[in-house]
Amino acid sequence: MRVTWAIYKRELAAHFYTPLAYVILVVFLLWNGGTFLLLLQQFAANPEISGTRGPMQLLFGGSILYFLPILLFCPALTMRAFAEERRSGTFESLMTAPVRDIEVVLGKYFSALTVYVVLWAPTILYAMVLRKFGPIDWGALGASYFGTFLLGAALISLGVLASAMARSQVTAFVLAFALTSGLFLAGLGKYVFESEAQQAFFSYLNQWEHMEEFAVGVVDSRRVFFYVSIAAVALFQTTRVLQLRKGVQ
Amino acid sequence: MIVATELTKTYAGRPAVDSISFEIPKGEIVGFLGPNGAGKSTTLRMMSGFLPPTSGSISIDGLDVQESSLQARAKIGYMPESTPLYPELRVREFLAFRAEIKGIRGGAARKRAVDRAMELTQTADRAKWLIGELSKGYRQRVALADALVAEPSVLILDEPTASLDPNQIIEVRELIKSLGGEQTIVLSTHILPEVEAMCGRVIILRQGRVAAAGSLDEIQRSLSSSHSASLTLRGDHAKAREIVGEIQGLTVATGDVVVRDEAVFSLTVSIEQAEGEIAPKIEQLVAAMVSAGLGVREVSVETRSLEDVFRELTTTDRALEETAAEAPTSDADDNEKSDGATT
Ligand SMILES: Nc1ncnc2c1ncn2[C@@H]1O[C@H](COP(=O)(O)OP(=O)(O)OP(=O)(O)O)[C@@H](O)[C@H]1O
Ligand SMILES: [Mg+2]
Repeated sequence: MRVTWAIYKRELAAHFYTPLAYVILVVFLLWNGGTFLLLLQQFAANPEISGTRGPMQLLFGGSILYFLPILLFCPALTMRAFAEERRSGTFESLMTAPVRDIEVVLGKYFSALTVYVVLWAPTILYAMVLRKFGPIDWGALGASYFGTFLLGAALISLGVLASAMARSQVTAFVLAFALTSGLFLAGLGKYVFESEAQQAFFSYLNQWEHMEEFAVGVVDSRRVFFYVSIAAVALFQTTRVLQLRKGVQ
Repeated sequence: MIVATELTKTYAGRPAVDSISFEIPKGEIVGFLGPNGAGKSTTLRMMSGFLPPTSGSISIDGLDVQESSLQARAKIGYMPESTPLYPELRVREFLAFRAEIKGIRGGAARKRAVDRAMELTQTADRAKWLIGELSKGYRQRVALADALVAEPSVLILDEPTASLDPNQIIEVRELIKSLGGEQTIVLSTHILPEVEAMCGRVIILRQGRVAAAGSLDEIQRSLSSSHSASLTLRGDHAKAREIVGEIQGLTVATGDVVVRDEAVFSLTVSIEQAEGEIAPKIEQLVAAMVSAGLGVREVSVETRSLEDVFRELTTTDRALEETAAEAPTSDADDNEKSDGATT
């Protein structure tokens, strides 16, 4: 725990040392702001659509505009993690300190996850704004944030894994994006295959559907299990990759 | 105590370190000396637990660095050759981070450890600087401070003075010497004066093998003769040494007898040229070995091989002398000694 905490702090500082974190933060805010504005205009133009789902519900998982930045920015948050240590050679001094692989992995993982949470934090303001115009379903909103957190927790673990495999940040990013978008596209298999078993399987993977559930306030334990197990498996695999990477510059 | 047995590392079939064995007693300062590509860094990397050996093993205080990696690493302070650091941290922050992951608990204890390490390496004046803004020599000293910060019982330093100015070279040598006795120190270098200034013992590597090992005196004595014979023998090695001593003009060149397995070992014998032809000496030696009941497995006569090693090493040494001569205070003591070795 001590090592995880030390690495967590250092990683978090390193995120904000490079301009990347700020760029991501700004782009992400603009993107979500734009999406929110678009949704508001839609609602203003067609008041009749505001049935079960308000703009807040549609902001979470309602369109590709929600997934695209997540699929892109999770790999960007994690690409540094191990690839940069290997490039600069600090990997050697890090791994020859008396640290367990899993402690290092968790420190890096949680620091990226923290930045992800920070990215989302300002969107609470939208809810504050909307409150002036009508009631907010706080339960559904809480579930939306929880689902968004779970999705990030899973995708960031894949990014950390990719970063441990890669030797440069660019490779790490590309590999992580391949993993996260691969997982996302696999879920869309639901709209391609027709048999009942296939439908059941792909809807288990279908993040779009999952988020629509979360957005209306449904927290299904199968979903929680799905994302948490992806994170657990990916982080465990990362420690195995690190074992193989020792001694290889 | 550090024990390596038949340590080997091959890269794509090519050996970088080729079945080397050595023992380093507690508290000694031992230098790995050798030209570029000799396998020094590869050996130290394996010692640090970072690089898994292709075969053979290495242990620190009885802990195998691969099997009991975590416990072994807790004893080690390792400074890699490239002195890797995080450029975005300040010197103090970096050392505090390293102290924390090396297990120094509590803010006050960490502060004390960091202060001590900075004082020893004379980096306290840069405590608040960003590492990315430091000069190369300062970066090297911060990396050294990192190796020292948790007061490890074993220090592994890959070229600790590589990018220092002549004054700092002297300071760091003094520091390393003062740490010996308490801590076991293993370092690598290209240059002979470095070894003379600090190390009680030296292991000379060439092309991944031990070319010579022992105290500098022993090695220098063997250098004065120009021929040597390497023998691989089976039997009692004390007996073998005795036989070598009895033959006029022959001496055991290196104090180290490498025991391969139960009874097989190799020995390097130097042959004084003043004694005439060397072939009869070899015949006499082998006959004496055989009649004493020792099995002679291999004999090879080498001419000036150790000198060759030293020539390679002392050429590098000249470069340092020139640098030192340019600076106002040169390491005069070192130059004197190295002159002795070159002639
Ligand atoms: N990662 C690697 N892949 C392939 N070969 C390597 C690798 N690392 C080292 N080698 C080879 O192993 C041999 C020994 O290298 P090593 O770095 O141990 O030498 P060294 O004695 O430290 O040399 P120097 O004085 O230049 O630091 C060299 O021939 C080198 O080319
Ligand atoms: Mg080297």
